Amino acid sequence: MIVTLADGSKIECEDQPFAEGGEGILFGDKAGTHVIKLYKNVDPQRLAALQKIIGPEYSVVLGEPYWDELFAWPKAIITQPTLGLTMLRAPKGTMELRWFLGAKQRQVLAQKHGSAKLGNWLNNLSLAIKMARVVKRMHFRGLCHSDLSFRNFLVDPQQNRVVLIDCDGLVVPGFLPPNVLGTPMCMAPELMAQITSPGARVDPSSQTDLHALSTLIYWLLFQRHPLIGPKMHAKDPALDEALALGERALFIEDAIDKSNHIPNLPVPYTSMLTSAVQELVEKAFVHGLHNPVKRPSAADWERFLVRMIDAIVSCDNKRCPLGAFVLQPHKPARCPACNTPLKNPPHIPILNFYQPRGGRKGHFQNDRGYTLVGWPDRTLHVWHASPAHTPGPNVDHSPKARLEFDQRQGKWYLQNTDLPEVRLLDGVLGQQEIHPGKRVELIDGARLLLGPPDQCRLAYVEMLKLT
Amino acid sequence: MEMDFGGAESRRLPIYLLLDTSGSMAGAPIQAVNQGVNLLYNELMNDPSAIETVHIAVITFDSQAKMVMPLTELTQFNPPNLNAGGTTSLGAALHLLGSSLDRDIVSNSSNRKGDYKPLVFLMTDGMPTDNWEHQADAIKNRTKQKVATIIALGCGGGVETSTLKRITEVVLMMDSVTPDQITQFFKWVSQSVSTASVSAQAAGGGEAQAQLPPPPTGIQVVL
Repeated sequence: MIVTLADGSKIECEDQPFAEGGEGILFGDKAGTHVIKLYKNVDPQRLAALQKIIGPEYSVVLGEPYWDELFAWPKAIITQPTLGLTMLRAPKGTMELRWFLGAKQRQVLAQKHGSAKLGNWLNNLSLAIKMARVVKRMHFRGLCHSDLSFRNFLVDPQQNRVVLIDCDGLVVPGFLPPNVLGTPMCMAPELMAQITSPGARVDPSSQTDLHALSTLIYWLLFQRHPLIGPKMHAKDPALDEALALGERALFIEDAIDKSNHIPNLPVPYTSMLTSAVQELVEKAFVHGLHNPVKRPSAADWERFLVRMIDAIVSCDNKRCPLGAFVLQPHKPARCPACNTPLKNPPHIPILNFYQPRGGRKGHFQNDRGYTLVGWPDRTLHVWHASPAHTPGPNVDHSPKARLEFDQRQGKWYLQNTDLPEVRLLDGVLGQQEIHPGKRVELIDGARLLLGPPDQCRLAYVEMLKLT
Repeated sequence: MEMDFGGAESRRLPIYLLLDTSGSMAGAPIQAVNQGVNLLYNELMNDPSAIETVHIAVITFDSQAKMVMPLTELTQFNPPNLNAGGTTSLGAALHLLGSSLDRDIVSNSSNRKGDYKPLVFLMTDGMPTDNWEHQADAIKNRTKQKVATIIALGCGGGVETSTLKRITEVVLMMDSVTPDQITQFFKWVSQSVSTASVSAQAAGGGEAQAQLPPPPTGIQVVL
């Protein structure tokens, strides 16, 4: 089959579709690089909407290959044989996120592709960060997807790939009304509530997107749905489920109302996350569950999940199913999965970061509990040194400093590789400059300035004794 | 080793296949049915949502009705190898279906999640040879109470739609019984199940029959 694009050029594609959705039929192109979607019914508004989404005002990918990998964004409009569009094909190896959410699916997947395909918990954390980054990008443009789901995120944990599909149906505010409500297990309670008690109309919005994002992140990290617990709401199973996801939605780990708690949950969220990410879980499933304005933003998810990586240490138990875990301050240093105590190295430095307080030179304030757990060869980057940087596509990823443990001496060092102005603050000696190429021993109570005091963070070192 | 994170047990979506294995199905048609059940299994195993919920049972009927495969989790399901011969004991098959629904379907309770509404696919190519009317009425009565959704497919000219209409409102007719048509039917069944496993979760989102995808060409919906 030959399709004609709006600019008159032609693309040859397969005659047989590879998938069919509610709205359109999907074909591969002969070159194997693009997917062709042809609409079954052409809504007169559709063409104008597509032009908006592809155009410079709303496109999230224009001229930026980084984002092209994360979005199967509409690329060109097809006019013949019927209205349609082209999109980049998702890379080989990416699969519906649903495959990675649940023991049954994972087992089938491992049988088909080998268990390496499943990735590990750290891979899932990396996927969650990219999913948040994708949604952040869309929301910054003022767009909402309206159907963020385990079907529309294609992922490959091993390759750390995330692709958001079905982007042609997204909602341009004030211009295009949404045409889907969402996918049930991911829909916000206020959307589900319309099914059980139709009343005031609620449309998908960036706030309902945020419920879906939070749900998928929790589901991916904990392999359980945040709202599906034992509490029964109705005799009829279908109604029971709609209520559990809708008007009577209740977090399975709610600290106050325990009526939906799953007994003997092996790893509660409070045992696995940094305090900042725990706060996001509570915003999503306690405070913001029925109050959309309180839901955590995609930017918050991205920022605090990225920071969580700095708190991860490996489990000493080689057969641990988790392999690595978040070391929580002021709690016993044990793996939450296998309970193996952390013993090596015998003591580890915790770098507590403080950020400059605007307007008051030399004053620093807590940065939502931002800490970096010392671990051999853990590196520091520009986003550690300065709050002006956040990890992402346009940020320098090269290591600027490195943590080293000298086994023989039993001492920890910060090796400055590329930070121009690191200073050790010492009450007695004053400031001591640690030039690039030099290292400084990390001891309990040490204070390190990672750059100019009005722009950069201060790290306060706490030494955690493990044995 | 995979990590056990705990979590609630998911609801089941029970699928019953009631397949005519009478003598008139012998040869190419029964081979096509075998391939069709295989195809259905493979398609569902490619759908991670179906893997979560779908359970399948197979009941065949010829001179007798037989539960070839009791309600089994999709990942544990083995497509049976069916042979055709004998008469068409549709009544006995419906009776077996009824008692299986009574026995197997889990209702909602505080210690177990109830099953989604079962989907029953009945496929037959001839007139029943046993006393079927009473069983048909009993089954239809169930579907009125929304205990299950039954979809009946009549294959070829040997089936009267009035027979199938006595069992369910959702009747499809296949004019010519070719292996290709039978394959198409099973493909359609897999699409219906995939839709059901998503929209069943939608809950309260209308009857399953309203969500069935359009049947393949050559198969008509009898209204």
